[in-house]
Amino acid sequence: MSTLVYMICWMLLGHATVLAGDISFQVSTPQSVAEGERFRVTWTLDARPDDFSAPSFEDFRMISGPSTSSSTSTQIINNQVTTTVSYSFTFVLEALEQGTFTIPPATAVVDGQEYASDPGRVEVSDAPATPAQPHEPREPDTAQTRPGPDDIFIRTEISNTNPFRGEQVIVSYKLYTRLSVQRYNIERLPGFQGLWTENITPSGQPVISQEEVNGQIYRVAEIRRMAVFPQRSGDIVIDAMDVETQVSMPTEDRRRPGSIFDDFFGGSPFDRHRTISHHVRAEPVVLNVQPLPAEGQPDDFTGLVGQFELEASLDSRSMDVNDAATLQITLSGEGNIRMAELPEFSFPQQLDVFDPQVADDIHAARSGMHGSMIFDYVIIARATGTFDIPAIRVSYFDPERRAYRTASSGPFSLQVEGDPAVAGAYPDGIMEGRWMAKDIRFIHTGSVSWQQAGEVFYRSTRFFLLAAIPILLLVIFLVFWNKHRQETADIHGMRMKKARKVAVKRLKHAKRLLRENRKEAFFEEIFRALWGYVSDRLDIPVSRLNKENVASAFDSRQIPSGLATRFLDGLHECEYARFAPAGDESPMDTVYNKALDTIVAIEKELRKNTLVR
Amino acid sequence: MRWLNLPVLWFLLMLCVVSSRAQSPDSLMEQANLAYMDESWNEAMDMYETILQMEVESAPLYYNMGNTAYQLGELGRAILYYERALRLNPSYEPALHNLELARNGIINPIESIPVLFYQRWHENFIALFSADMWAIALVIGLALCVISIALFLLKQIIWQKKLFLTLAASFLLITLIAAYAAQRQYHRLKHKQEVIVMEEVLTVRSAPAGRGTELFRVYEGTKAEIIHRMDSWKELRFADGNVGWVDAADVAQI
Repeated sequence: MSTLVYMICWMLLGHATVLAGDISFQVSTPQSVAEGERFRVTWTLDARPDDFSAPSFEDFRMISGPSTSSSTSTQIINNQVTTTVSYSFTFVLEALEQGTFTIPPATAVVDGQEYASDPGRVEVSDAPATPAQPHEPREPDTAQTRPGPDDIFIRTEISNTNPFRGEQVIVSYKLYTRLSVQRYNIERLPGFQGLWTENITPSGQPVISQEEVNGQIYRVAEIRRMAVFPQRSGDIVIDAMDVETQVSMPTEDRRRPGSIFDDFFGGSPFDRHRTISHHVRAEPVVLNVQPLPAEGQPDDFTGLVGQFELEASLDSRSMDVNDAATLQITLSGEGNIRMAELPEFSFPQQLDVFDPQVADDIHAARSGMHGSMIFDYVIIARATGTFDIPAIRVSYFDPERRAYRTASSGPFSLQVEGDPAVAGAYPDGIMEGRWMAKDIRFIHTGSVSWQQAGEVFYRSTRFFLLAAIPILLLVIFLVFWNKHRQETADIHGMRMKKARKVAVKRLKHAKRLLRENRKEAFFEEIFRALWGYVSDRLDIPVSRLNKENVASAFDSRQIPSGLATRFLDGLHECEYARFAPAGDESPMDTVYNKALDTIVAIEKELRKNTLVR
Repeated sequence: MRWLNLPVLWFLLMLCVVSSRAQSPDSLMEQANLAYMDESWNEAMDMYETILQMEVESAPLYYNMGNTAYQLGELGRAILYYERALRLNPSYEPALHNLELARNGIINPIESIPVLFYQRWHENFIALFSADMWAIALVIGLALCVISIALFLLKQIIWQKKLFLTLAASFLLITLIAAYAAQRQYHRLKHKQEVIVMEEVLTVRSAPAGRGTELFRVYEGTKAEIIHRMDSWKELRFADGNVGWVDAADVAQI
């Protein structure tokens, strides 16, 4: 019974105990790799692990992994059945730096027990590693032949390592191989800091040619061809390019020494080949870029380097006003034509020129980029006349002649006819008075009248003084004027005022004399009344009383001349009566009435004409 | 011999003083204008500012400073100087033109309240001349009025008297209008103080303190009227009628 139990126990557990004793947990790494190369690290365990943990690959970059595979093999030897299992964990790493590195142990748990592998050692060198000796047996699973550096490599060909800035340089990557490359894949394109690149790799399968290098015949395929244009001067590094190739390698046994027979018939369909992936690298290249010579550089140079031609054509030489013509400028040639831009052309002001439409027709050929850029300028004439479009010039640098050159075409003359006033379609078609731009007026130049900061004339002392002067003058004037008026009022004014009263008094007296019939006295009184009135009223001194003065005084006061005649007649009558013989005179009452009427009429006229004071 | 040296020394000292003052505003202005034509804007601006330090001012000076600031791309300052030029001479046409151009260049979301047409006419009429020009008009009007009164009194003939009486009345009316306008302009000059926002973006607050509620934002070149002051704060009324406080350092008085 106990035996049975033991047997069962053995069957269930013994297997594990037995295996636990000699579990093999190994790591396999290449001995040496090149910097940047990718390699595999494989841990192999001949038991089924419950858990596997890989170390951290601090000195390497992990590309992929783990990929797990397992295999079981059963052997029957002398009726003894032996079953072996094998588990492998594979990582693909990339070597980052040179030096010797240790891959720390990995751990695996098998049946609850933890195992650790040995650490692995990898030497990373700068040169591509010499592959593991193909003849040396390696770890059973990874044992494979690797192609040598002479078997497959990439050469970088550069048309000119001393180009000018902007000059086209052809960079060609050629894959040289003595092996059968089934496929290749560019894993990493070179970096191009400071370069403008155009891919000019012919499409389709690369053309295979044969070349002899160091006495060996290689098959050569151009895997990449580029046109690069340096954008600055100085050293520009074209980075390394990494290519992953699938190389068909003869299997291990085919390479064994002694199998000369098979080698001789190499390539027979019965060959057993093994396809491995192999990493090839094109080393970095340095371009020493020269600056463009400053000497002789034209003002309108925009950076074109190469060989160019310029052709310009105007589609019509004569047109109607407000019609459109097209000036087509075609710049063709080889070089950095894609970067071509035309300088500003000065067109006559009467032509409205729109920004050009740009089209390109640029091809990538083996020799580099060539083609043409086409600039279409639409020109609309806004006035009539003959306008000259100056010659179109484009400057470029010719690296072969190491000199600046100018391509030119034209000039053209454009005949514009028609009536500019009929500008229906373009309301702003008339050039005159059209606003080109708004800008501020120019500064004030010339004389400036300065004033004290913050000073205001209004309410200043000066202002009050100036304002007071007219008022003061007015007051002074009024005072003087008043005084003068009073003085004149005393002498003349009073007399004038009294003139009527005096006259009335005298006339009354005369009337009394008339009643008393004192003839002489009466005429004298009338005479004095008339004379006195005019003397007082018209302000004529008695000494200057004569007929002429009276007439002119009447006239200056705009008294009708009829009145003056009447007045003078009255005077004359009185004089005549006084000295004439008796009985010859006019009747006294008539004279009296006449004198009264005259005075009243004069008084009326004077009042009409003069303001009464 | 020593006593002889003293006056000589004084004379030399005086010479130095005189020569240092020899740069008159006119010559400085001329130099600054040359620098402006030479497009050395900064240099021109420095020289114009030197003139201001001499405590003199004139509308053309401010106008040229406005142009220089405009060329320097400082629109807020340009507007400030144009406004100062217009304060001295409200009908200075080039300044009005350039001010409008400068205003076009600033961010100015403030819409001014529309005024009734007669208010606008009234404002425009008063703004025809500065206070000083109105004051000169006042003095001249008064003088002509007095002359007319005198002639009216002296003349005897009635149509002449009528003529001078009418003239006297007209000149009196002109004098009164000028006095009114001068007073208004003077008041505007002395009491209606306006500022231009000099900060690119200025936040207007509800109280004269940094912690006042942020009310709204105004932009460089915006004009506003001061209605109150408190410490370093100013209460402003903007063209749209909005009122708020700003730090006095962020605005410049016209």
